Amino acid sequence: MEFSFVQELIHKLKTFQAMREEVVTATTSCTLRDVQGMMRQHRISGVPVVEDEHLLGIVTIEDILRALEHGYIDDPVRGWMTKQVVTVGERWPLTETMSVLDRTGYGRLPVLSAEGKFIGLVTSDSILHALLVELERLLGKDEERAVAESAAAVPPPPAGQHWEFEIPAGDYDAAGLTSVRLKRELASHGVPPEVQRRVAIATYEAEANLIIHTTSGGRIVVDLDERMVRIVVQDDGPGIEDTEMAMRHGWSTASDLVRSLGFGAGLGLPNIRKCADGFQIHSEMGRGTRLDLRFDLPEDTAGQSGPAEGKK
Amino acid sequence: MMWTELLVGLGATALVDSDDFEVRAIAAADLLSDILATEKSDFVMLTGQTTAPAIRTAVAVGALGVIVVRGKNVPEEMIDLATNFGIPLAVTQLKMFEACVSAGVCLWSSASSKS
Ligand SMILES: Nc1ncnc2c1ncn2[C@@H]1O[C@H](COP(=O)(O)OP(=O)(O)O)[C@@H](O)[C@H]1O
Ligand SMILES: [Mg+2]
Repeated sequence: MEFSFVQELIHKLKTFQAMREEVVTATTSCTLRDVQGMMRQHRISGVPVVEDEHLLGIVTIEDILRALEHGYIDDPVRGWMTKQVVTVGERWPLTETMSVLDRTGYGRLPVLSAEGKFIGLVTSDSILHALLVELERLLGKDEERAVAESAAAVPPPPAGQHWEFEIPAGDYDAAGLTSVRLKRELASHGVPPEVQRRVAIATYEAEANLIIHTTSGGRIVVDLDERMVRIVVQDDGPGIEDTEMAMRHGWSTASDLVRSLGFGAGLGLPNIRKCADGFQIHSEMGRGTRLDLRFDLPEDTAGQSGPAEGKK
Repeated sequence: MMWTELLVGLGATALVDSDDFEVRAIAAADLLSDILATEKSDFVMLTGQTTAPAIRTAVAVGALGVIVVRGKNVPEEMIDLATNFGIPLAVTQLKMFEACVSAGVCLWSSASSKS
């Protein structure tokens, strides 16, 4: 299954690239009537409640209608706003944010920065706008090159391949996304199935660690040439106190919640080391963690393009 | 043992259909890390996880199919993902332990009927 041009485009965009930054917001002491006025004036159906750049809740048109009906429209929003707000991260791939919009059915989602500050809103409109801008930008370039960049549709140049993936923290449902995408890329560049499998497994555990254990996510950078697949996994903290301990089979600091989702058994790092032909881990408290992985390709198969794995 | 024989043995219902295929082993775990650590090949994955990451785990390790145990309600999202990746998916009412035993019996009886 190939990613379509548009899917690939959406995947490259980050959520902050598709959000609206100029957002009408309320404070907890505004009355619901004030908010009703804002909605009318700006023709919007939801107003985030923000103080000191922190999101405290959201007031929607339904809240206003209920207030009118039950006669508390002059109360401050403090007591009536929705406090459990579904939010998205600024660095999330747009695909993830779109699937949250889809899943929840909400018309708008507040966007939080890595530090948890409120920085904007995404709506279907703002996403559509961002896509159109990006499409125009791409089409403005040499058209063939744009397609090659976005869909990787043409055979690989001999010089080698390079991929970068951003992994947001805390998004358990996204676990494995990078692993399966990378596996598909490697397959289309002729990497043998046995190597694909080891890379996919190591990448899966590495991205799970970024999701589960880091403060603000991390990056996975992959380079493929005729001889090897090289992978660097990097994050900005919190770092690992004792890497020797962390490498032990079964050693984990993960929560019960994480365990109930199928991770946090303390098997990740040992399995990554087992899968890779070269493995190095460096970590510093407060600075972050870096894995350097190498997977050697068998001599005769390297650098061929064309599908290498498929069901018989 | 064939996939269809396994489904019959576990009383499982297919959610994503496929052509029949040979199954040589079973990897069973609720911990996805356990599945990712398996050295088996040509295997089917049994799990209680009903999430997108479970399907991606199957893709990463090259599992031939996935069977959800404990009769869990399998969300659309999981079915869609399995369909997209061409991973046969089924659900059984059996608990993990019972499913493992039944799968073991299937494997054993098909192996002994061949020899
Ligand atoms: N990127 C990371 N940043 C901080 N701590 C990490 C990171 N990766 C792993 N760790 C620590 O190492 C431990 C072992 O990791 P791992 O073997 O993958 O097992 P698990 O993730 O199941 O706990 C984790 O519980 C965590 O404490
Ligand atoms: Mg881990």
